[in-house]
Amino acid sequence: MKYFNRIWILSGLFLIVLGSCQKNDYYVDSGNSNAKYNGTVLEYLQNNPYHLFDSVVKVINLAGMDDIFKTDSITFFAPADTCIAASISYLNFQLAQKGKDTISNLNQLPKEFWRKELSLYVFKGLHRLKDYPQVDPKNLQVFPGGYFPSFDEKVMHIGVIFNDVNGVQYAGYRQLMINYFSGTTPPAGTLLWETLVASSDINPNNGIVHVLQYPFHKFGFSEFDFANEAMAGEIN
Amino acid sequence: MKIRSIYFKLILTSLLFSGIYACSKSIGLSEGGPYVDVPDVAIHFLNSKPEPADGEPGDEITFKVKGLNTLSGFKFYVNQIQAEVLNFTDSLITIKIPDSVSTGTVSVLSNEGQYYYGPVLRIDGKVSIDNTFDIGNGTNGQVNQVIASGANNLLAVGSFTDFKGQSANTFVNNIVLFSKTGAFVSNSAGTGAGGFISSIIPITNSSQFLIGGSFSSYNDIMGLNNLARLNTNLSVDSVTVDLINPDPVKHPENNMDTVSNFNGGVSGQVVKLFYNANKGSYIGIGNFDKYIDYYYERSEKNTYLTNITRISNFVRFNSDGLLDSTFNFDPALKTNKRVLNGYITDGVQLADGRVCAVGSFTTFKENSAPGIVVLNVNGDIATDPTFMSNIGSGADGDIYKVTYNGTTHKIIITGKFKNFNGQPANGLAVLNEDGTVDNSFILGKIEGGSINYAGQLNNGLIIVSGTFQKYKNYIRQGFMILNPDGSLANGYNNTGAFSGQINGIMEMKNSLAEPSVLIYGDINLFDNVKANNLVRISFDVN
Repeated sequence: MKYFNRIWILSGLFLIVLGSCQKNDYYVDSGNSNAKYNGTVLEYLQNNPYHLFDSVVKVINLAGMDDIFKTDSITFFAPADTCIAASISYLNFQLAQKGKDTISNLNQLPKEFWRKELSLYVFKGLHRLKDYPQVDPKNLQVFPGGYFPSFDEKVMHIGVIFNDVNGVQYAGYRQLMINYFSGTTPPAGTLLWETLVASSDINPNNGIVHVLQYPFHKFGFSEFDFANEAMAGEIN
Repeated sequence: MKIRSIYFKLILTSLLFSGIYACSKSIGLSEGGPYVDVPDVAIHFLNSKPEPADGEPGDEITFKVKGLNTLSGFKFYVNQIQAEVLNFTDSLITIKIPDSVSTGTVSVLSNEGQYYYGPVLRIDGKVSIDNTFDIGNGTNGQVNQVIASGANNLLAVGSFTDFKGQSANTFVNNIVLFSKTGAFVSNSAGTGAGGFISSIIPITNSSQFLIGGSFSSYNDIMGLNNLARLNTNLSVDSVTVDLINPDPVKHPENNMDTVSNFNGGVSGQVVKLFYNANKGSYIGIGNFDKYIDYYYERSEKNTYLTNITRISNFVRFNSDGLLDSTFNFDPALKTNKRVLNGYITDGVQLADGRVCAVGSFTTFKENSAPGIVVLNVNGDIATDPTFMSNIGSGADGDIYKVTYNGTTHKIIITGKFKNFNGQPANGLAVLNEDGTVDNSFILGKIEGGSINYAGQLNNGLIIVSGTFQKYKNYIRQGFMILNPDGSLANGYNNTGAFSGQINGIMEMKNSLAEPSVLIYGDINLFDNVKANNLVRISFDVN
């Protein structure tokens, strides 16, 4: 009887050993992603396998900022093509309301316009997630994040959100956030156009890329400001 | 036996360990992993409000700020205007409010060029957000027009699908009724308009409304063409009509249909609706070239015989939708020639009934109409010769908005023009009713953007919105109140940053009997506070 029990325990343990390495089909461990990219920031955007940044690359070109994306030391919060499409769509709605011809090609808008909008996303120097202060959108008083001048000096609001985990405040994963405000001073106590970063610290040779959660983001942060700025300038 | 037992235990333990560790892997995340520590902010503003919380230029204000002594040097700003620092310690700073500043965020700029923003410093003045108007989350899309509905309620139309979160309980689509204190008032609009509404006008000698815009349905009534008549409770005025039914036995439901009682519509967007008192009928202006009505008596269900009349931009009809063919129409040719060579973006009716339209056109019936046209509408449509000759070369670019005040009798146009009748205008011009430019108004220097709206109050003050950042070298972020001569109205320019586009203003008294102005449009930010398309300001009359 005693041996009988041991046999059960033994076989149970064997099962644990055998089962311990069984892979579940529903979970694929993709491993640690390699932050390093062997190429320039521009090449990183051009060679995205899902073609997320084709229009972004075109906008970089239209803004005359290719060389900056190739050689300068920059940090780029990367929006995706859908963000540009969304803002252009709003601009076209506004143009149509005014009885104007709509935009069908990005090169109808002038270089200065693209430079102004694109530079909201570009910062001089290399800044990883760990270089930005903490921000808590629900408690800006204590964790305000930081205000950093972007490439053409427009000040942007950037911070790291410390997510909660299992009810423990700020113990969870860290996530970058970038926020825009219209005009020269931010409204106190509110975030109006905050956008979270999906993938941070991507490291091409000459810069750092933080890819935004693009599905809900509009290029230029505020589609209203984007359309107004475009309509104030010349449209070819 | 004992030895076997030890062996057994050894096997057991080793099996257990091999089972536990079999799949553990080394987790070597780069750059500190997902739980890195981040740098602290050098400067902390500790209290949400300064001491005292508001003040006038010249007053001393103390802020609680930590970390100033760690900086090598800094400047202190109130809404981007540098303030004199009287003294500071490791946790306090006292500054003097600079002259000509408006409400806004205070900030510290370190010598290294880093900004640290603090709380809002409220500057005392005559304008404040009206606290008796509890608008909460407002609407989620732009408001095109607001009119009074009875003594206590307001009726807003536009392009939105929610009002203060009410869409969780009921449909709110492009039309909403609310009280003068901002409370939602239930109505029978149902699912509302299936497209945006640009204009609403009460029907004379009735409690009904006429709406125009860009919609093809309202609640359960389909087949609308951008015009509809609403009952007092905001339900669409509908009627049951008899139809020809080819198969009354199998499909008796096709004997009749419920349709709009107002039988008329246009082929494009209606911009504005006006009442033509002389004829007792209504004028619609907009971007269309056809008038459409249905002939139900000889129709089968869902395939209505449609009567299309070619008529463009301006149309007159009675309150039942019957087209007035003596207006903008040639009965002999049974058509009208296209009257405008461009788009209408806005229009107003002057006190004497004339209609003013603005837009991107340059001609009216092949005569010059540089962005603006004023029409006599009492008989057939005709331009007002005095007005059209007085405006001369008119606007050298598109006019987007026009406002009119019946008390001051001034027309104000805003748009993308630099000159009006040869005089520099930079996007804003004040005209008299006869078309001459009001030279008592002189527009100052605008920097950082353009003007997108200007409307005059009965007392002569002009409310201006835009994307500008400075006016006459004073910081005015997108919103300002001007005197009739174009100077900044003293004491009225204390509000902070504005972002958006005003579509209209409405003067009223609030529940404290203070004069107040409802401002509506596409408004994101007012007085540096998030706004949702409806804002009411009140004036301190003392």
